[in-house]
Amino acid sequence: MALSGANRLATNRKLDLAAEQALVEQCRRQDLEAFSKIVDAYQARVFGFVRRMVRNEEEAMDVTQEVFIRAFRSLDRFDGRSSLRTWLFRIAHNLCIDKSRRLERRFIETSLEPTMPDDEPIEFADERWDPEQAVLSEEMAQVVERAIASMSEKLRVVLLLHDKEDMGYDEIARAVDVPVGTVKSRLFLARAHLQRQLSQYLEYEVAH
Amino acid sequence: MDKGLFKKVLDEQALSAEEALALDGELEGTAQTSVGKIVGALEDHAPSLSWRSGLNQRLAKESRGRRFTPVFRYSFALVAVAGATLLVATFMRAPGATRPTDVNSPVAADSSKHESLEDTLMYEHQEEASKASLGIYVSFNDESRG
Repeated sequence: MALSGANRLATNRKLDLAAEQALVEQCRRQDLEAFSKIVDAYQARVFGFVRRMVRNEEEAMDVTQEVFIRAFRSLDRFDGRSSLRTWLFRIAHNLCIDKSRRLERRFIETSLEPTMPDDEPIEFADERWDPEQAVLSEEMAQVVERAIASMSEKLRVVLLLHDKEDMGYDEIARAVDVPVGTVKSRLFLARAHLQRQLSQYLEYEVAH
Repeated sequence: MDKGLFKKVLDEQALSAEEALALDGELEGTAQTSVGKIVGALEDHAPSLSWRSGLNQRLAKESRGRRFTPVFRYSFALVAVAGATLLVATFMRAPGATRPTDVNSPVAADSSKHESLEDTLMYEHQEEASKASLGIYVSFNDESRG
């Protein structure tokens, strides 16, 4: 079954800046209805991010709830210097890190051997990947998800925030608390890792 | 990509302006952007309705807690201020003010009027006589003797 963007519109609703600021002001006055709109706008994206950062879906649900509870508690301290989205993902990232430390989880890290990545783009000459429609087959999506899960946490977070959440380098640097140059380096390595994994998968598929 | 640059990127070392430009070029290249598009195409799913219901309950509880916190805080502050005032008032009262006075006694009516020495002596005498008539001195002297 192809993963079309069926509920993409519903889950990726973005708030414009003015609406966002108005909602934040209302939330500061303990307006739960206003906060519900923020949850509506970000729950799928935050959940998607957390789901790819922790071990399983159950853990992801707990962490995502905690993200919104913490956001609600500390909206007084949200100064608006970064966007609400950056702030939420920063909370989410910190909670994921805390969670992994608390559980003494060892992330399965595939060592990035100092080998040069291919300069050639991956050829997706089959119907499972149509860049024009930006639709992935379920099979391909699973391969990509596994490849992302096999990355180190520090590469994964940058890849997800940049390529999945469309965040800029500055925004990611603020969310993850590393220099912009480091963000770029990690993004390059994350994509190179993913490229290698996908190439291996496609080569295997062609051979069999 | 240049091997030296790749090593620097791998070790997260600081890059020169030229190297940073080269890295930007790599990130904008087809090989890297096509991978970025794949990641961007991954689907997100909203959590379940029961998850949302649980979140709403937690938020409502949190909201109630926050609404009552200032009330408790102010109540505590009011009680503290009242207690402190009472304590200060008790200790600040002059010893003379604690002396019981007979409001019916003509001399106790207004002692502040006795400004001359004669008046004061007369006032003291009348007061002692009044106390003696009430038996205060008697009992005091009895205790002293005993």
